[in-house]
Amino acid sequence: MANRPGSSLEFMDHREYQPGDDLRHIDWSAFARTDKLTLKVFREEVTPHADIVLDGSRSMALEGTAKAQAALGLAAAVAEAAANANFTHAAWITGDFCRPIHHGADSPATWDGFAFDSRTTPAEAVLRSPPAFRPHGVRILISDLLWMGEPIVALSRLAERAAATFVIQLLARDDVDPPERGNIRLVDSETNEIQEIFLDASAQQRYRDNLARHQDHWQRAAVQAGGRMLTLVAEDLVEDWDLGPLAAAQIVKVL
Amino acid sequence: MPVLTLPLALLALAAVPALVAIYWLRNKFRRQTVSSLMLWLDQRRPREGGVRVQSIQTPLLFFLELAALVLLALAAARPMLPLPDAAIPVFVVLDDSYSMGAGGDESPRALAEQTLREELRRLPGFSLRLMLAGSNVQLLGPPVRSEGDVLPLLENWTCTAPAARIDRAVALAADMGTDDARVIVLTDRAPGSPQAKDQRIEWWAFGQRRANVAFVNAARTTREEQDRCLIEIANLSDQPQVTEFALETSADGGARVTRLDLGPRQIHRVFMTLSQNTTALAASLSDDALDMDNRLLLLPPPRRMVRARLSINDQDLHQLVRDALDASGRVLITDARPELLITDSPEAAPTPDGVWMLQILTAPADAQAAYLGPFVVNRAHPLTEGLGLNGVVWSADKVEDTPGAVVVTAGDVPLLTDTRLAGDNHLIRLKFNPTASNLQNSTDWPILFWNLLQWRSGRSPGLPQPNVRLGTETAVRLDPIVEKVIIERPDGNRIELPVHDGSVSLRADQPGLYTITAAGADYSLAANVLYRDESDLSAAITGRWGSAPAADQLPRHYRGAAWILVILALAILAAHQVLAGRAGGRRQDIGG
Repeated sequence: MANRPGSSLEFMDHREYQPGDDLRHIDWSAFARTDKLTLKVFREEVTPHADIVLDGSRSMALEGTAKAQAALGLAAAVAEAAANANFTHAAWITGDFCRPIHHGADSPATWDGFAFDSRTTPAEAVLRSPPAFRPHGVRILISDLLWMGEPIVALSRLAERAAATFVIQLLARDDVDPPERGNIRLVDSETNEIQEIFLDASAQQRYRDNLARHQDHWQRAAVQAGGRMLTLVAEDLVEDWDLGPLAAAQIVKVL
Repeated sequence: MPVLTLPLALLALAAVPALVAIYWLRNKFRRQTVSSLMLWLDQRRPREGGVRVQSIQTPLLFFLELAALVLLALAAARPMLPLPDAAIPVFVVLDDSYSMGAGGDESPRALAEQTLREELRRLPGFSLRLMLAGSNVQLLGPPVRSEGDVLPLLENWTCTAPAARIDRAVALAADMGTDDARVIVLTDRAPGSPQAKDQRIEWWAFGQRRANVAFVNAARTTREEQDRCLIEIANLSDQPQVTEFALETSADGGARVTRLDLGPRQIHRVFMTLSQNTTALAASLSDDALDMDNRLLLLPPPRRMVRARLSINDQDLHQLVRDALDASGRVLITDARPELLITDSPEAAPTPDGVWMLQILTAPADAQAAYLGPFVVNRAHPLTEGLGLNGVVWSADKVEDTPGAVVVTAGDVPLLTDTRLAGDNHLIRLKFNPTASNLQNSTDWPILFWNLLQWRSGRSPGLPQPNVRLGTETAVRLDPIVEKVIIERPDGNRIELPVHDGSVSLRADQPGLYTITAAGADYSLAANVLYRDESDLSAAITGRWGSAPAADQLPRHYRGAAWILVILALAILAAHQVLAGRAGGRRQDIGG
């Protein structure tokens, strides 16, 4: 985990007042001298912190896949990396609301009291009751992002007053590659809704196109919210726990 | 039950499992749990893939295809449906002889009709033809299929015929019907002929052995100035019978009743002489089992003589002819309005006024020849009835070319010819030389003139015989100018008949008096029931011979039903096409 703003207030610079700035930070002496509203800019030194938000929806425990294992392992890895970087951390999981995981600030081995059984999307959970994320902390969302809706809405709330926001999309291999050809009875893991379709090459390609379009929406929303997005395949991750992609995305730093 | 003509075609039903397999494989879905269906909710649905399967439509199309397949397989097996039982043909032969009316309300006819109606009510369906077996066989109306249609036809079953030609009726039924046709004979006698004993013929007899006294013979002939009558009354039973014989004539003014005690099988004969002024003679017997043969009516025979004129120059020949004519007793020699001219003049020509002419052609001695025979005789000609010509020497000329149809010929030489003239007159040429012949000394000579007079008399207007037996057909000669006659039958019905060729044929199918009115002239005809065998009820019997085939043994008639199945299959396939087209249209609409 990289170094981030410290834990003390230290004068850093002056700058011209901008509407909306805190009036308490106006340098009245400089105003007297120059007749211009000048603002004192301080470096705030705070304790570095990471909020790890796990998607608790049922799709994260998709049967026959390694998504749940990968999601937990990934969250634990991020938490351990934060601890190694002297970050405090907090683990959250989305359900009907976004709530802290029991012992989520401790070692991942002690995390308890959560399950991937929610029918509520993380966006709804975050918007329904905004979690008390620590300001200026690092926010990491681990989810498959497979719900409908504008990504920027949820991401804006997640990235609010965050020092940095990372979105890790964790997909199963079956999410990436559509089923083989034939008559398929598709069952939604969260709603149990059923759809029977005849799957052929063109249908498979359309699925891939839809997934790519969906990921692109999230990618652009992440950038718009000042964050980054990374996609991992659960089965690939659990195969050797190679965190290289996290390092490449500068979410963690490998020493 | 329907039957399949080609059951092997049902092998086509093996395609049904194939169709089921196709649909089963098509409707078999691999279950796949996905994280979310959001990526599958593709609004743009191309036709080739990714189509959401219409699970409701598919079973309907499947069942339609399955039904069409089964129907076509059944049609290929050529199913045959049994025709309704109404198609079973039944021929009923009705004995129309008058013995069927014996017994009044318990007559064989009444019992037979009752039994027939019960049988018809028992049959689930039939196609019935009634055949009236009298002196001739008559079909009564078209085939009928209900008891209500049968009853009007049975009204023609009057039982007045003197005999029943059941054998002919059965043969006709066999010709008209199919092998499975039922032939039912309703009569009062036991089957006699081997054909009638055929087990396939259902012979139902309803007769009762009854005593009966009947007129069995009667005749009235003219002799000189009187009429002689003969009447025979028979006791046709094995027991003595007593009856009252009533006789009534126009001269008596009332009936004379005589009691007759008749022994078993005794025939009582009554002879009587009537004056020529006596018109009708009516006789009757006491009522018994059969009333029809208890009435008798005898009309006076015609006393008309043939008016003939002799114009024969040869005195010997004239005498020979005159003797023959006189011997017949049926000729009146006169020059006034002759009906027959007999001449030996070769130049004589027939007149068109209804005069027949017998032209006797003699020849010189040097042109003659005597013929000993053999003589060739046209037996169909009225002149040759009873003509033997045995030992006859017939002398005539040698001319071979004689006009007219040859009646008697010796070799190539015609001896007697007949030429039909206008107005139904005849010119008869007789080549005959008495000097070298013995024909005039044989019995053939008066026979020849008797036949001539009989022939000529029969061509005069009127009835040849006023008293006939029931069922006899009589030709009534009429004046050539008459075009139609009115006949009043014994039951009072009057019928009008056209005249053909100067005569009308009348069959006396009812006993009693017939009156024929033609151009102001009336002629009477009496028809009497004089049939001993038919009146003899001792042979009447009740019983049944032959049997109706059981219902399950009757051959059934079938009709092909493949076309029905094909039409149904086509209708189903059309519905399938419509449904499939609608489904395709919906997919296209969504895809667009």
